Amino acid sequence: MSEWIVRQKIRIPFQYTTGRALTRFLTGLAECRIWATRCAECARVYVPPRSFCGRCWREITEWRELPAEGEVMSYTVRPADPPLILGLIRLDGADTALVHRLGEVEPEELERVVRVRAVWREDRTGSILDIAYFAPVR
Amino acid sequence: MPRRVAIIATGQTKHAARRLDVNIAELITEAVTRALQDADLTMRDIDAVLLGNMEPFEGFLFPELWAVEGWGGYMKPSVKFNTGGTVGTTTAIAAYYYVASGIYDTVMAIGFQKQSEGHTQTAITTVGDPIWERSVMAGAIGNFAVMATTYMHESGVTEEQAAKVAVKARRNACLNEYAHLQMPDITVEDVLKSEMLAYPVKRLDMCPQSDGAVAVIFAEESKAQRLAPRPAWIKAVATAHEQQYMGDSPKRLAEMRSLIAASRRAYQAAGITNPRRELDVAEIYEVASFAELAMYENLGFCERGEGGKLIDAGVTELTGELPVNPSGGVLSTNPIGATALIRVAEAALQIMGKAGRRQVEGARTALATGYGGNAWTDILILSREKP
Repeated sequence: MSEWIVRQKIRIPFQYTTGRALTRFLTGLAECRIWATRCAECARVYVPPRSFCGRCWREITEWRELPAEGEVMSYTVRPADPPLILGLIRLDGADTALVHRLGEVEPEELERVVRVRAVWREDRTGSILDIAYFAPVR
Repeated sequence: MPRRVAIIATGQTKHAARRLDVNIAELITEAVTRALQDADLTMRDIDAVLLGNMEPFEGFLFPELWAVEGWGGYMKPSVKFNTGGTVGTTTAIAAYYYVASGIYDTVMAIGFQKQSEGHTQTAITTVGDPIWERSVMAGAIGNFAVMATTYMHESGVTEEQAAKVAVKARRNACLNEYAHLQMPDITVEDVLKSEMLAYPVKRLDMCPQSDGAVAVIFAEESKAQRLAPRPAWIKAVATAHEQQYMGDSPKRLAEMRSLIAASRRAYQAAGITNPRRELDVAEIYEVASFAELAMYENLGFCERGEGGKLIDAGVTELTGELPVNPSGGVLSTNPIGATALIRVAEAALQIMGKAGRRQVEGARTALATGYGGNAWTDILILSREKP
């Protein structure tokens, strides 16, 4: 007997409701603004913002705008042409880090990069990719 | 010996076709916050959180990962369940086990689904056996239609009798502030004239798809007595699984073997010999109007073949001898991962005397069921008296 395998594909369409906090964050990106929320109990500043602090179990209502600039906490380089550089960026005033791309930098320079700033796309749509990448502050 | 366990609080969202005002985390928070308020507790008082959700109805896997802020799982023991239509009752029964075992004192069970995010029939198709089901017939409606025609043939129930179930559900839903489909003016004629989906099932014979969440708090005896004026004690739980392939039990709706097995186990454990007389209210998982009639028979509310007569006689109306689904049931509200846990919450509300305008006067013993996969059954019996 030969092996017999049935092959199928299923397409799963879906949408994602962004909700109270992320809606303001995403529409803010379209205006080159970065919105965070701050928990009144633990004082953590969340970006991307949350409408609820899971650590303190309380609603978050305080909003603050953060500068589009911060520190690189970690990075990795994926060999490609050009190399794809991914980083964890903590914006000034935030307690959490954003996962994003790094640009205008060669992999061998990364060791010396501390400060980065957002480089905005021209055609912004209210997406995390409205930030094209973070570039070193030189 | 298992410890005594009671439900001490419940919380539900306003269920709707599309809750576009909130994301998944925010939806769950709404139910959890209400449950905590109901018992005057905070998240710190909860020892473990059990989650129920049916993947991939949101269209992606592990939606709870991105909602942990909402369900209060931060640093808590937690398990997630995914058992199909039964998921809500599976989660409730697991919460019962967690507390009855003596390991945890206060456990929260959560069920949620934001069905508007995904595509329900596609999601159900992913569940089907690739050869036997997907290639021939998948999705909920065709499945139920085939079962319903067999049941009509076996029992003699009519489309009109099934339509009466659909009417009862949507009218009862008007008394439930959380229900999705509230249709005060619906008539039997409306159901019969609604779009034919697959004979004999018409659009108004089927459950809707909803966005919604529910949270139910379980506690051990001393806490339950301290925290709830009238706890809903868990008197019995039972589960039974059927073979999945429909061809293995061609009279699936007429003879619901798993429902018979699980309910008889639960009745025995609760000391119930005449369910119609000894139960005061039932919240059952009737995904289609025809299924409710078949469930009357297989739950022993009436003799075989008498399901249609029970609805004709008004026995299961809110004012009848044994009200079934005063909440409006699944036919009115169906966020799948929450649906069966809503049955448990509604049964508990009846025992606790907190069911508002849908309250069955003096309800002392309540039945809740979950039904899923194609024919799996969960049963819980709640009581005002300690087991």
